[in-house]
Amino acid sequence: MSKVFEDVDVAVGKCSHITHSLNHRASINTSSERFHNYLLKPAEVVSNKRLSEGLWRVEMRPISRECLNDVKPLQFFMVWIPSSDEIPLSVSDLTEDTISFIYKVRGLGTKALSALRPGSFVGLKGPLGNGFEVSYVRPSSKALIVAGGSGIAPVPYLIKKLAVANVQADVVWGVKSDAELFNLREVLPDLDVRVFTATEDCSAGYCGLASQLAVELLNEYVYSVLIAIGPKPILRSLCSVRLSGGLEFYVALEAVVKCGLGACGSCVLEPTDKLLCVDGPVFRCGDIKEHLMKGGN
Amino acid sequence: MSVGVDLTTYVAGLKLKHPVMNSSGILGSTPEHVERLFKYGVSAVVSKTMTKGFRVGHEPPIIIALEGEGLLNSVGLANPGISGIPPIVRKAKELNIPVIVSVGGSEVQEFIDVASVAEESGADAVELNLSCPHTKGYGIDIGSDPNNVYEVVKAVSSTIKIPVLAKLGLSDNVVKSAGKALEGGAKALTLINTVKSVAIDVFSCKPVFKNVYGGLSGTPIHPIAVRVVYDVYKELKPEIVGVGGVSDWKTAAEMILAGSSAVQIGTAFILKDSRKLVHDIVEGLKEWLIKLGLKNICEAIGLTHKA
Ligand SMILES: Cc1cc2nc3c(=O)[nH]c(=O)nc-3n(C[C@H](O)[C@H](O)[C@H](O)COP(=O)(O)OP(=O)(O)OC[C@H]3O[C@@H](n4cnc5c(N)ncnc54)[C@H](O)[C@@H]3O)c2cc1C
Ligand SMILES: Cc1cc2nc3c(=O)[nH]c(=O)nc-3n(C[C@H](O)[C@H](O)[C@H](O)COP(=O)(O)O)c2cc1C
Ligand code: FES
Repeated sequence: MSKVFEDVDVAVGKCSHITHSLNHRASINTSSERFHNYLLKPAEVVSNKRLSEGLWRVEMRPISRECLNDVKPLQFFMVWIPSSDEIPLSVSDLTEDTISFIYKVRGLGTKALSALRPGSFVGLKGPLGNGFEVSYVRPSSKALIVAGGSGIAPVPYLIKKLAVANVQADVVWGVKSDAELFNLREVLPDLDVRVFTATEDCSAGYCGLASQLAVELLNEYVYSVLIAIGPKPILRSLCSVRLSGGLEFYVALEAVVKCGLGACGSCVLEPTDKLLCVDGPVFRCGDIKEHLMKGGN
Repeated sequence: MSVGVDLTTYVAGLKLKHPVMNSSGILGSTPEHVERLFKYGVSAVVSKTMTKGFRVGHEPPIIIALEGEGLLNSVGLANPGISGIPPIVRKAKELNIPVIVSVGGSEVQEFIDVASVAEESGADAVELNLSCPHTKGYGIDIGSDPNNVYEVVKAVSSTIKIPVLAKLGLSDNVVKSAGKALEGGAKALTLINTVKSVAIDVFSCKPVFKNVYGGLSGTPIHPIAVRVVYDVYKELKPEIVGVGGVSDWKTAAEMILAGSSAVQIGTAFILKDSRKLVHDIVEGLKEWLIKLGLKNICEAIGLTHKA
């Protein structure tokens, strides 16, 4: 053992301090890529309109459009409504210089958002989360998207990106009652997509749950990928469907997101140690089964 | 090659296989969080600051990034309360990793009650949070007065047997508070907490946090943290856990040279690849020690004061 090593008083569980001369300097450093996504970027409200009972669509123009680069479908932003709240919302659409969100008015934050007029300023933190990698889907194949309630919010942008990757989408949209429905084509006029609606109260479209309708479509058509977005019970029941081979299955989850950057732990997907805000919201069914099966909403 | 370099270090009697822990408030409130921190590779897990009762904390926004690789947070000490302590400690034991429970309170008795639960649960040590800058009645309101520091540390140290660390923040009195904490029975000092700050959005003209104040962390506070560690070490030579803007081996090395026996990391776990960070720092420190001609990290602690 060397001299210096012996001088360290390990026996008493302490480091003793030893004088030594410095004879070298070294330097390496790395920089953070996520950092820019976590800045609060100011954006101006361009329009904010009601689409149906409870669902709204807001379009915003960020002062600097940099945060609109490389946004993947199913990524989200923390939308700060000054003096009110900050809430996670999925990207619903992007243009050259604007970003849109579709949201359901629920509580304080979404109410405050719905009250914003054009010209108001908000702050955007994002894009956050892993998002969906459209390049993983086999080109020229078909995707089935299943959305429950406000789970429809990210669907327009998802369809758009799938189309760019030469993947055609069928959409199943399930709601409680037809008052919640709006025409998806209103949001994206040049969309080439089949939309199947389902209502729980049988007021329009298929009478029943989105997951039931989805199973019927899966039996009838060939899809290469299934992407389900919405409340946990829908995702849970779809994940437990015995699927034919070759079908990739993804779910986009929701959880309480307070910080959006992996610090506070509010979005942990118990009993796993996955954090929705950084590891999700998109998971393969199999990777998140424990959480889905745990119950609750 | 870094064979033969020993990073084993000691803080408040705890043996750590290397000097890098997480800082309090980065996850650390549930067993799932502990499991995740364990996977980050830390040598000890530090819990979120626990208070006696459940605290929902402040309403979002609770954290934003600032230019210059800093974070501003106003989490407001959200935590599950004392009932959250045993499951965390149990999980750490299951993973065979030392666990330090961070203890908060608005009065002396609350610190004693929470620290006692930590001890009963089997925690290896407690860290008294005397320095949260954004939650009224907690933290820095206590920690900036050296007499209060003495009172809290003394009361807890004489009630529990496991080691007590005192976490102090930036204040004009920090060296004095540090002395008082040691006098009160603290076995080590954790320096520093976030620095009280305000961010204003220039378009809405509103403060970003409803609570107005937040705590600044990360790279912007690193030189401040190094200064505090340096001053306290120079004056008192205690065992110090250096915290503030440690984000790579170099910033860790600076903390060690200033007098830290170990370091904690918060912000860098958020801004960098959290699953690689500790590994990279540990490897970097080994290389660095070799370049300095040292075989043991203990030899580097406070070295600047002797160089
Ligand atoms: C990653 C992610 C992406 C999201 N994307 C969208 C989106 O694009 N569009 C959208 O409308 N919503 C989306 N949400 C949900 C949205 O964030 C919440 O609806 C919103 O935070 C509610 O805020 P609030 O202040 O209005 O309601 P709160 O005051 O927080 O809650 C009001 C009531 O609504 C309930 N509630 C809150 N959140 C949800 C929820 N997620 N599901 C069901 N009930 C809830 C609460 O339990 C409470 O009863 C997303 C959530 C996550 C985690
Ligand atoms: C999101 C967040 C939450 C924090 N919560 C706590 C806490 O509960 N208790 C505490 O003592 N320090 C808390 N801190 C302070 C850190 O433990 C640490 O002292 C500070 O962030 C400086 O280190 P860093 O620059 O590595 O982040 C928190 C910091 C952040 C960023
Ligand atoms: S929301 Fe804070 S960790 Fe995910």
